[in-house]
Amino acid sequence: MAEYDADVIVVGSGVIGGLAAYTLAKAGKSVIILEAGPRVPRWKTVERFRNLYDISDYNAPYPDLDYAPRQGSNDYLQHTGPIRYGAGFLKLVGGTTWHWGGATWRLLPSDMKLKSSFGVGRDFPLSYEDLERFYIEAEKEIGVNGNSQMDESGANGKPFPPRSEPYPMEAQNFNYMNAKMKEMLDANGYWTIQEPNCRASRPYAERPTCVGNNNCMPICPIGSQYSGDRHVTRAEKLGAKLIPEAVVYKLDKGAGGKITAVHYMTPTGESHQLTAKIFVMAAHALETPKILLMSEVANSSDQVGRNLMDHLGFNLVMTSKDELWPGSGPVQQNAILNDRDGAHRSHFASLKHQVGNEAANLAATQYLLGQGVLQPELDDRIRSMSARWMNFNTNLEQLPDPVNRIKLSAKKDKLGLPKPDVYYSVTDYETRTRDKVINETYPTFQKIFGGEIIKIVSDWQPQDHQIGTCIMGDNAKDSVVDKDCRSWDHSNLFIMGTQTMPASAAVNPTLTGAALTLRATHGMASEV
Amino acid sequence: MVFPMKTMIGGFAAGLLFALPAMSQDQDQVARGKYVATAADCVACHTAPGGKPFAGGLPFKTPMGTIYAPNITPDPATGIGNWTDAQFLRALHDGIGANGERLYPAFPYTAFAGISDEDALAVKAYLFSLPPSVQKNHENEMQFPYNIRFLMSFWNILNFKNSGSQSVAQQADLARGAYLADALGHCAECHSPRNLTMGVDSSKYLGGGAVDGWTAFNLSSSKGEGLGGWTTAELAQYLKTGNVAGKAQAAGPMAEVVENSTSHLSDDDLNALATFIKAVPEQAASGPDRFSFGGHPTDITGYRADAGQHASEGEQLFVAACATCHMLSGSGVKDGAYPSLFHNSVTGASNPDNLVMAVLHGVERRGSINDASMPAFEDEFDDRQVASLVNYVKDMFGNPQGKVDAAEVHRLRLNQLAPSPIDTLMKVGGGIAAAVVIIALAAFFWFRRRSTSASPQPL
Repeated sequence: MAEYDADVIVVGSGVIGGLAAYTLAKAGKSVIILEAGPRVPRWKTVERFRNLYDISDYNAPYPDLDYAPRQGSNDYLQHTGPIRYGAGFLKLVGGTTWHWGGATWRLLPSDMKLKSSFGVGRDFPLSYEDLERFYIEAEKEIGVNGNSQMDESGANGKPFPPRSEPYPMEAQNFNYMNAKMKEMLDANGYWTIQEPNCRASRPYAERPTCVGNNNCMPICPIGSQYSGDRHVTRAEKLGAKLIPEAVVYKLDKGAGGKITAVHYMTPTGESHQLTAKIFVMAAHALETPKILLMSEVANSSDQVGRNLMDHLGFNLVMTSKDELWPGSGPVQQNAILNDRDGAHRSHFASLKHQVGNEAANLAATQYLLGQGVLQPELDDRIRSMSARWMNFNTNLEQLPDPVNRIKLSAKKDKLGLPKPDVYYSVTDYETRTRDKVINETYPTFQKIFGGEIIKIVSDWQPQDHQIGTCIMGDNAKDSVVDKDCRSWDHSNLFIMGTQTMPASAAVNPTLTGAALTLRATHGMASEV
Repeated sequence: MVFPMKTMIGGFAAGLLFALPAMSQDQDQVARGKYVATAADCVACHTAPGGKPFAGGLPFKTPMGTIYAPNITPDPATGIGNWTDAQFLRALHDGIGANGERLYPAFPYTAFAGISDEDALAVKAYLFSLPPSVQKNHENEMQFPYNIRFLMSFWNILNFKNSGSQSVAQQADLARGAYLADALGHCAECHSPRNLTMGVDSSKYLGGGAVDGWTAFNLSSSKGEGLGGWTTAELAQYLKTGNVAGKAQAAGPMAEVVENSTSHLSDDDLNALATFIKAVPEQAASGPDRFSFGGHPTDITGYRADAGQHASEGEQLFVAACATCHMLSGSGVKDGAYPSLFHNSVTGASNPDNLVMAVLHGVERRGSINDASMPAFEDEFDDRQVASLVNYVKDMFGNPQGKVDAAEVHRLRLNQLAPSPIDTLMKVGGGIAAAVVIIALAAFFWFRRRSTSASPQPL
């Protein structure tokens, strides 16, 4: 019998855990993956979605179990801060990338050097150049399509940030709405670019070409869009062992500061223990710090759970004068990044605007009924409004702030484990940026499209992009892991995913989490 | 072959010269060799998945051991860089290797014997124009006595003769098509049944066979199981694109043939090939055409309402996993990107194997004209679910005859080799040893399997 149950145990089977397990299994390591939730095949989720009463809740088709609660689960997350943090997460094999817009942006070099470039926030302990070849690898693994000629800094300049290889797939064509919109926005100096994303623009690995079911959230019905279960399955084919319905609750510390074992419970509360040479925590930004805090490990800096960030969202809903026909193609394709980068970041947050491409029938109908519009004109009004509906969603970079944090609540879940307690707030930096957008940018958008404003939602809407809580740094005193994702306190404990990012930028963080993970796993593969 | 080969080849070469006037004679020979090698689909067997083209390494699993395709790049040490013209011709025409050893008939020299010297040497010139790949040949892993190569000479006596198309090929207007089908395309290797000694049964020429778990359908002019209901133009379109709406779509090994080989043929050659195949005499009793089964349902409203609790497992799976692309009605989509499940030669076949294989392994067919991609469901469905789904699809849209059960799905999933009659003979009789061994060796050919094709290769 071997001395250890595995070379490496990975906690979490989402995109990050899957990629880590796959890379390590490919390097010949024995790997066990622990996942709190169950395994659910795509077809079951598709069918559950179709039979829902309310299809607007993207979490509803997914399991919500008393031993593995998901987003929206009654009374799981405890909120103690001024802003209710509606964090998005699913618990099943494959994780939350079962439902996402699929955006796979890189950071800009300046995003990773916020403090030294603009005097705010924090710097990454590594540079864009250090990460570039792992971005390439992550784009290939995840299967990303994009336009390699774009200036992703939003300044309509040369291709940026620098890339050593083009996107693995050519960019998907814009649909009519996006093409028309680009024409109108570009004419006014708002540069509309193609959002890189993980839908297949041609057959890619096991995935067929995206044909625009417009259902990326809550479930791509044909599996064209990448989801984390892909790498879990690939890891299993290379010999990794997946244990679903295994709720990890404790890591044991041993001699020399090493982690020696992981404990998990089954749905009925039966406890098991596994040993390994190396442990990888990839349970996302809420559960990872929760487990570390429960185990009293990795926290000599007192930074575990702190610096929770998200993309603070707010939006403008309006109609356009002309028909734009949202709803054909994938749910999001464009981005307006004029204010993503520049000297203004010392006082104003980096921004990403995006016009959603969800079919607008439901939203238009709800609005019209709310206005008291009835038959006989209702049908015509729905048709007219659905064809002109525009939802400008703005994401804003939140700075890391240690007060925004995950703690252990005194309340317990079904297995007797503490629930996560979230304190969440914003500062003037974010608020003044939002106000400027609402007062200056949104009226311009309205003028360009010549329609009517339906509503401006200024309440903060976190975008389910949890970032931080176990941030990386170059000082053990004020960060949880080093640039290799290794715990400062335990040499065989690695924490991976977007929770290690010390800055949120304004763009979706998954690809950066994946690139950091691949960089770390290649480094650690030589240690076991 | 008994048709006037040299005249025809001369005409072909002249056409190429006309098309490519700036090329030197050598370049012309290389270009012609590339075309001939494409028509013979050399790359399919001589390239490992993800490997360098023509560098070999693709394993062929057989009940008697594993054979590995050799490196045919011009590397002198590990490839064929030192081969003379005579050696190359002897390998293609006689099944004899550079050192005089007998080749196993997994290499279809019985077909390539019909390739003209000019074309064969053009292929050699083309291969020698490619960059050499240094890749040592993998040793074959054959059990005794199957590792005794000279025994192949006995098998040759029984099976090495020109194939059954002679009567058709004697018509001069079919000569080019026969050459493409028999000498280059070696269609009969998969699409003809095997005789008792496991050679191609020339009396049932193109009457249907099998490869890698897939049925290679009857290509003769039989109505029903064959191509009697097809027009020549449809057949040419199929070979060019892999897709004829309302009839058939290429998947599995045939998708590879279309992708690597037939989609690159000239329209004249495609027409010649299709015309020849259409002239092949019928090989089975007539019945309803495979593509004639099923039709657009008149009312599909019941499906969705039903799908929740009351539906059968097959219906539930169909609605949840298939209908997004193939539609609830099974009609597919208008541009043919997702084919119709009725009027479809696979759902209309009485043999369910290809439908099972498409569900398990998906469909991959790349091309300049269209890409086809259906996901594999081998990781998502268990054997029973695949059987339920396939039987439902056959009932709803295709030929209700020929149901499948979980055990058969399991066999196809693992691509388990069917029991070899040769093994039985060896065990039971122990007699006529030489003949038995010869037959066994021939079985490589029949049971050959590219083991690497069983699972999709992640990038």
